[in-house]
Amino acid sequence: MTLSAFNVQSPYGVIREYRPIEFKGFFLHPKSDSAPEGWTYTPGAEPPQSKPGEAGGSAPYRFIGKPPTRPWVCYHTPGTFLYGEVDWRGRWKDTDKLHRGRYRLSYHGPASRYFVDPEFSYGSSDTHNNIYEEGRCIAVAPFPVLGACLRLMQDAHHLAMGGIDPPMIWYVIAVCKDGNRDVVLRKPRRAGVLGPDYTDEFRAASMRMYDKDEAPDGWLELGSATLSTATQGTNCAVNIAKTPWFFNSEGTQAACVRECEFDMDGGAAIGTVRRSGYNVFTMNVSEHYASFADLRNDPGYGYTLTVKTSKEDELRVVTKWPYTTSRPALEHSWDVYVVDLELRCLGEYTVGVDYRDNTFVRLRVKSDIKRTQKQNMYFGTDPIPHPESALAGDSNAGDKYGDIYNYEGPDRGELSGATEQWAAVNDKVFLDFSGDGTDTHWLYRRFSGSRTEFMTGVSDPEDQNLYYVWKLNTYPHHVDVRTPHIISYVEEDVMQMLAYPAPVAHYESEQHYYIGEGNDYKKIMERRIEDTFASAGGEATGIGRGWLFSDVVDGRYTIGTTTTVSFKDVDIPIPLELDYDWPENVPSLSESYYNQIYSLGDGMYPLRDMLQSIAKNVRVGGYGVDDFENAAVSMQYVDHEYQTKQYNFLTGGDLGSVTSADGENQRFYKLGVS
Amino acid sequence: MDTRPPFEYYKEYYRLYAVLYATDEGLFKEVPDDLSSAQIGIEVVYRICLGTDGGEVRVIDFYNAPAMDKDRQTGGPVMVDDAEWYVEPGDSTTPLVLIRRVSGFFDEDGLARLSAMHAVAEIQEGILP
Repeated sequence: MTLSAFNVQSPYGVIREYRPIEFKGFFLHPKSDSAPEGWTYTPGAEPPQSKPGEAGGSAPYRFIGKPPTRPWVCYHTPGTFLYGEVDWRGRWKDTDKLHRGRYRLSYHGPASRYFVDPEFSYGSSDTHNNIYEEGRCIAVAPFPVLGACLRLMQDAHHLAMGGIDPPMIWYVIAVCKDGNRDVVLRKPRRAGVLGPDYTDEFRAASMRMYDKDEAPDGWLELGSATLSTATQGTNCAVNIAKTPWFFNSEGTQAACVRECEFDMDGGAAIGTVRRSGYNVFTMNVSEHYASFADLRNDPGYGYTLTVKTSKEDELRVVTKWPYTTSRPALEHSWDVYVVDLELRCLGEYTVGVDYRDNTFVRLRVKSDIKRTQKQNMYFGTDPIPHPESALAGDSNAGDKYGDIYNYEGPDRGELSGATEQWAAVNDKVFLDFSGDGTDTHWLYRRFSGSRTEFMTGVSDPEDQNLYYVWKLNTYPHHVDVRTPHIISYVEEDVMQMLAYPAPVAHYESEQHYYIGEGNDYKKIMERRIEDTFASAGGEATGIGRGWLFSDVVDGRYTIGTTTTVSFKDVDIPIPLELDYDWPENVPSLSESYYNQIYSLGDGMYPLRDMLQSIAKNVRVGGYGVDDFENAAVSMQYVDHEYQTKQYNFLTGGDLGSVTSADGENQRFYKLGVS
Repeated sequence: MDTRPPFEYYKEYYRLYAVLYATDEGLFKEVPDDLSSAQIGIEVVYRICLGTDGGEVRVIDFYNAPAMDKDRQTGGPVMVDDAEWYVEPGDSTTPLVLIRRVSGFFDEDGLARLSAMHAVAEIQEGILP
């Protein structure tokens, strides 16, 4: 028996595994006004400093991460990280070690994630072919990448050799844009490269298509399609891809929304109209082939316009007529006509799709519009002359009065221009993240009503009849329904008819909503624009005048009937064609809102414009949410004094402090999530 | 002249090892959540016990570099078969659990003889555990 001991590392160790450095968090590119090129770069410095990202920089790029239960940590990492704007979240790497995060890829795409970015075009840069993982380029596809994922599959080489129980290996699956064709490719996942190693040779090698002998690790085509809606029987043209495909976490399914142009049957009122819309496509991916499916879209928005006309009992009232103090108070008789109008719009339309893990999620624009108006009209029926007066002018015969102004609180006993009537607008159009209405965000909002109905719900003891109008348009910059997360620009008009001329307050703001921070919007900026003033004539209700009396009596529609018109559309809120194709026996919208001084309709945009307006949607910046629900946002905006500023947000931290940055106007984009 | 390699009398009977992770920050028995480094998982051997068919045993121990816990502290008990072998100096209380892997080289009789001799050695020479 011999016993010996050595105080050296055992030479008998066996390597069990090798794991490359894992970056879970955010890649940042810190800059400031004093270092516009990057954080550690000072132009003209001696000795010359390396620009951020170049090898040899003292602290070029930075990476921050916050594992669960740990504070934020920052790494001044060398090398050039590579990453894209759009990310895919896969399964957890190790469910027993969640701090390792999920498998994640990123690729290039529109900054808003789901909506067309007029400044982004697939194929405008060679980098659009790249697929990144944790800061490295792991694959270069032969075409621009619309979507990518990782999937664990049987090693095809072993299958080819007839092996038994072949090992499982990771494959990269990509959907690419080859002209108007969508191509699905796969290749084995291989180690990625950082910026300095991202060479023409690497690109060329990585882009090669599969060849059994020459390129066994090359791309293999699993399927392709020119997306079509032929089965829908409409004259539908599917536009080329401008937005990504999104995969589920297992890499077995993918979905996209594609812009299209089509003829839509709007119903008898507006007939067939050409529309720009969206269509939903999905894809199933097996190990050997991919198949596409047309999921169509929701039916759109159904409008119903109901106009009810009636003649009420004769109204007899003692008053001076006309309103002249020299005339006697006499009993006058009036025929009273009432017109009730209700416009309803209910429906939903899918504008984006995604996956929460393996659950398919639709991003819908839902509409619940209700506009109502009631108007009394009076027709004088006194004999000529009036029985109690010999003066012909004291008879109201032939006099016509419609209620001119649609505001609350009229004097019901006075036959002046404004008598008993009410009017209201309640337009609700919103983005639904949840599918069940539990997480919604305004896209349009129009509301008019008295104070008791408006916002606070508390009546004003000084004036119960105050009338309000609220108009809101929202333009999303970036949306992520997985988290969820939305950052947007908002225009808001508020009018309170406190005095004439009535001031209209205009607000512009940038706001951020992130579920991890609670359900409230964080207002980044609010700018109040100088008030405008509605007419001193009193039309400042947002509704404008009612119909002309002549419309009632000239036989355009029959007293005592109810007319209902239905139509449908995919535009929000009011189809343009309605002004031209309105049913003849119903006052048109433009007539209904005749001579309006201040319109609730001002600034209403078609749905597509709301989602991709160049001027209002595009913000320079970066957005991301990591595997642990931490969000990072760094975005340029114009503040209330029209100065260019930066909004930097970090869940549970401060970007400047975490990265030890200083200087004015710090910004941290481009920003990538890993 | 006979150029054949010398006759290998002793064969591996068993070894005690732990999977440790070599990183840029050092050797870990538990990897910290916030570690940002490449990692190499290594079966680090703490003891190799050799034996012969006749029941002779030879024990070789290695005092490896101390491994850190999640809090980057070293120390703590070194455990074998649910028993404490020794305690490494340091503030850590996280045990280092060693795995015993018995070689499949010996047949049943050989293993019985080695087991018996090993038990004697544990008592007489204090090679616990």
